[in-house]
Amino acid sequence: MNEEEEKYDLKIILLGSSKVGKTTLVNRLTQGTFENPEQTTGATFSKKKYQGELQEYTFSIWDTAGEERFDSLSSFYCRNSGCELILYDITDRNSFTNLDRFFDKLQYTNEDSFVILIGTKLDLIEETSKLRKVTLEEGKKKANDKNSYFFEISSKTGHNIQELWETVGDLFEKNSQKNEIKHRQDNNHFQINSFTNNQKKKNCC
Amino acid sequence: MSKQQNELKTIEPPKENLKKKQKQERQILKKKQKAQKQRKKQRQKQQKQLQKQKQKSQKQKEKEQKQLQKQQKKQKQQKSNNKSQSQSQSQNEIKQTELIQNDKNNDIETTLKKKENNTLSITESAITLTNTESKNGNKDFSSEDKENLNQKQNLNEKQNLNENEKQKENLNEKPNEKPNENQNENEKQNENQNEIELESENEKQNENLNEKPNENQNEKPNEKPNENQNEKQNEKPNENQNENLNENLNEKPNENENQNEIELESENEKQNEIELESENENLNEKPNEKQNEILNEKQNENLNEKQKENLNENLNEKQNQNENQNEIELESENEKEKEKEKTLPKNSSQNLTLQFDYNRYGFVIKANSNQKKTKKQIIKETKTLRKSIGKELQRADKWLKMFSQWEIFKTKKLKILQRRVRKGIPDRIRGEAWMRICGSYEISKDEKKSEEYQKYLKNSSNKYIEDIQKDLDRTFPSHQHYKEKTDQQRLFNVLKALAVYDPGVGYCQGMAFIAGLLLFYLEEKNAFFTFQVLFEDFHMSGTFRPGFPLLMIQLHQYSKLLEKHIPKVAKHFQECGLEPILYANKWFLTIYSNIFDFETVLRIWDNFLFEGTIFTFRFALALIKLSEKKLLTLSFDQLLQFLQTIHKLFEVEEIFHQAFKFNISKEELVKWRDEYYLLNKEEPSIQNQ
Repeated sequence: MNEEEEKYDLKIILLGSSKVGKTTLVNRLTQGTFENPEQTTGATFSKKKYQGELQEYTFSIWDTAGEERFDSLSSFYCRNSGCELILYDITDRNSFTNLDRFFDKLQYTNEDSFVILIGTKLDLIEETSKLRKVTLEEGKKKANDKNSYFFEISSKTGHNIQELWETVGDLFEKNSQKNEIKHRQDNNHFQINSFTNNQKKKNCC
Repeated sequence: MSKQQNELKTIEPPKENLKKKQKQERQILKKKQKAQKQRKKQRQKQQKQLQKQKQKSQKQKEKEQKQLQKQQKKQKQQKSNNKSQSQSQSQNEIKQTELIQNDKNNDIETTLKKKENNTLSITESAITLTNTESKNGNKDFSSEDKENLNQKQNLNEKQNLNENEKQKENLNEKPNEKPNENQNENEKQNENQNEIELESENEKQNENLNEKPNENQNEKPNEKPNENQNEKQNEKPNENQNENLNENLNEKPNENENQNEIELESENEKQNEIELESENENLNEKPNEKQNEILNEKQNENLNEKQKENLNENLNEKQNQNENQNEIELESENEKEKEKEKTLPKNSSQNLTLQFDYNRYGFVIKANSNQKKTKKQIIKETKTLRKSIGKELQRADKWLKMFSQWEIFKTKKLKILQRRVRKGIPDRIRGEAWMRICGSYEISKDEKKSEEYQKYLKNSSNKYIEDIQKDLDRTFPSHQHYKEKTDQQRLFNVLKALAVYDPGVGYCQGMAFIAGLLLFYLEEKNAFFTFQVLFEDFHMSGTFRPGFPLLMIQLHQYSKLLEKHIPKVAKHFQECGLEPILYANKWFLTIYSNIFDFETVLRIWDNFLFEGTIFTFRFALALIKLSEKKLLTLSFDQLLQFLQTIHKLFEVEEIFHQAFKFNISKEELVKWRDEYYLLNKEEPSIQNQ
């Protein structure tokens, strides 16, 4: 077994109602493309590299099915997740009111995981703000209540995508300074990446 | 497609006149045959002929110009009548004649419409075209096949008549001409006609059949005339193309020889490729200039061939010039004057922007996928394609016979049926075969069931409607069908009817892929019945019910099977903590329908509908078995990634071959199911609910 060959430093999981743009966001992040994807059944796995200050990290990204009945499977996917992106569609009120369903999933994730609440499809309200069904303030308030970070993005135009990704990376690096990096594979596989941590501390201080 | 039909409707063909024309045309056909005989004799006296033909070539030039003028006038007239683009006019012109033929040959119209309608009939009609090949081999045709043959013959006839119509016009123009000249003239006309067709076909590219793969634009000038040649050959045994070829080859330089040989060999194949399998490149992306270059080149080649038939090579250059001129003229119809020197075809350049390419099954082909095909590759591919079509036709015959005595095959001769299913159901009869092997065929004949379906459709208060609507444009998004509202509506109807029919299941993501798949081959109603059978007899309602009870059972059964058949991998997975739910639930949820390439999916479904879930297991095990060695070297993370792309690693036949090696008994599956119930303290009745 070449277990050391490739490890994922962070497991990111995307949650959110059906058709809010989870797969589209993943495609934007990993391939830089925007197209109408197929519906996701179960979960899809992809990876993306993040260039940290000192080294390159590889993040795994889990894209899940948004439909409610797939929730019963999501505890499997949430296991050992270090970052949750919870998405809603700013033009779809239901996707916002349903959000608690996904915050409940956080019980399955790592203790030190961080959450980013994301309002999607910002491009749709650029022409007419009539389409907006969830205000920026509401989104911010929700994020505040749930102690999470907040973005409004557009996978179509790429608006805020880079900022989002940088935030994920920054938060990850901050976290990893404090803690051991947990690999999502197995609780038996705690690994202390002391080398990385020391290096970073030196640099930061 | 609908646009096209509308255009067609706007122009009412003058039937009576055209019927008269047809009579004349037949006479001309006879004349033509005579002319060909004469031509043969003349070839034996080549030197004399050379001189004659030099003279003829001059006449021809004159004639061509007149023809062109005439055509242009026609087009202008049409333009004034119909404000659509000039190209579509020429298209209409041709369609007109086609439609008239349809009056006589009832079947054609239906085939034409079918062609336009969906992928199923693409293959159908394509097979029709290739029926010539199998015609000799298989004399026992069932009624359906005969129908197809008729259609094909009608098509041929129709095309010939179209040619002849043109020829007749020529005759009217210059009745005194020698038959040989007429022949040449006619050939020319055909070419022109073909060019018009090609142009118009460019326009149609968004439609199924007529929409040509762009790459084929290059080849079209070749293929169309070739098609005609073939048809003539079929109808006129006197004209032995090969003989002519041989005669001419002696005189020809080697280069031409090779080219022509290759082209002749691949005539049919190319034709088939165009009609059948539009899995080709995107010319759209190529610069116009290039395209034109290629077009011209191809046309020259094509002409060489023509000339072999009709003229000696001395005329090549002149004719080529004429030909190119013609082409340019036709393309620049809009500019009414005759300064035709290398103007870019306006309309084709417009066409170069918007189109998609679709493969045989109607899926969009990514632009860069095979742009660098060499000619040899294309020829090779078309050869294999041709072979496979021949085989498919033979198999379709067998299937039609089976349909006629289905009960016997369903019981006593089940083994034969099984063998044929495993070989892959011929695409042409796939819809009916699917319904028969899974049992929904009988239901579809029950009128009460149809009424029930209508009832389900009328229900508009279902709470899943919104969910279903969200997924309509996310089901096979790369397929032309589901880009269109009408086909999305069909998908919606089936899914909504299901949600009404079984409220306990309602709608679940994944169902749309199955419904979408069924709708490729079945009518809306029949797709619903088939899905109903999947729900009941295949217990798939349990697959989609909240909590996924059947999926959970199947995943348990699968991991047991893995332990039994591929113990090393099972052990390794366990050590890594990789549970089937993390990678295999897609396989069981949608029966691979959104995972593999479409052709493989169809083969999988042939077998799934016949064998049931056992096949799903077989296939899963085959995938793991084939990659066993690799899997053992991977870690959890790598495994996840690897398993997600596992479907791209193997050839279809390889997987199927492996899949059928596994011996899976129903007894052990039942045992493991009960084991699962015990472990999870659930009632065994769930599966049958």
